[in-house]
Amino acid sequence: MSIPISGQPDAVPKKIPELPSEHKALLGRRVSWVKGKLPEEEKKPEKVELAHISHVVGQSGPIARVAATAVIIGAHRAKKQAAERSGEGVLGQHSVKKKEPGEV
Amino acid sequence: MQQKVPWDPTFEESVSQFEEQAIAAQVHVESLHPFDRELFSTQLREQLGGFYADIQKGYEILVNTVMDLSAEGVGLAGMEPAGKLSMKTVKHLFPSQEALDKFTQDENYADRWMEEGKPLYELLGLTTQAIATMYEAACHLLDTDKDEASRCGFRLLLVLAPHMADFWMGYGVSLIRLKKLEEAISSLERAVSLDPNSVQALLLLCRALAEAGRKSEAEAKLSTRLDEAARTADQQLYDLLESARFELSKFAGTV
Repeated sequence: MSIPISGQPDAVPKKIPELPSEHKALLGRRVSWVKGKLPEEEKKPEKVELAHISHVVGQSGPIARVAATAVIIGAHRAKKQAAERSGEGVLGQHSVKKKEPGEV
Repeated sequence: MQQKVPWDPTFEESVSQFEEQAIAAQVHVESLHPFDRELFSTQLREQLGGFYADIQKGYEILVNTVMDLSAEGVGLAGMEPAGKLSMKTVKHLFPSQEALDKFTQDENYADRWMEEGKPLYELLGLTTQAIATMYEAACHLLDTDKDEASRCGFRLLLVLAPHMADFWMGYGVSLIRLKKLEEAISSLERAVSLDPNSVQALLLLCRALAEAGRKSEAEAKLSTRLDEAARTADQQLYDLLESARFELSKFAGTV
């Protein structure tokens, strides 16, 4: 898989490591249009969004900062959750002290 | 539905700037037909709030999915088997401290970065391996029919690396399943434009079009591709597309 760099046609494409074959096929296996059956229930169109915000994230501007901030806050929360689940502190950055009974 | 947005001064500041730009653009487009500025602003803020919440939720979902898969011993790339969680593997899913410091210390850092056409995951110091692991987690969610969770996960991935056709495809599939067909069509069109050789993206787009009641458009797209396959004497591709066209001709779904 390669990532074309927007606005830099001559740039060397960034590479993302190839996925293991069993996972690479995952998406295709689930969603094959040819082999799968189309649902028969009645479909109703969803209201089209005012603007596809996610489409503009690849462009410059304040929206990039909105997105980056959201990712950072999401990462912070995910990090805390991961640390709590693992019991290893916030992934090595600082320890999570377990409270003793009665401790505030 | 309006989603609750956690208070964050950087978010508020950025939204305000984006709002001003969006309103200015709308005024320009609709200069002959004045629009409801207040309503537009409200809708825009609601949408940005949903976008913001989706990305945060998507991050948590993907990290937790990676941890679940590890704990169950399913084994994603780089994970240790059979219930032993590799903290080293989980750590690489988070932005690097160095990148975060630059981001928080220089308010124009993100803008300059994006103006250079660089993806957001690099700005945040995430590795390509981290993106690949998150992509696998999002695919796993799709594979286990957790459609809303996979939608949030793919939306996050699109924010991080919007040039990846596979991410647009995954996002499109989750939207099809959630019956958000117009958004699905838009996403899959993006996937096709990024990877014009992807037959899978084309077939998914045709499916979304058919389900949205735009069967003739789907047939036209398939016919064009069939002609190309015939010209290049690609028998395997021709047979695949022909069978898709046959299924499409039988499809009687209506909106």
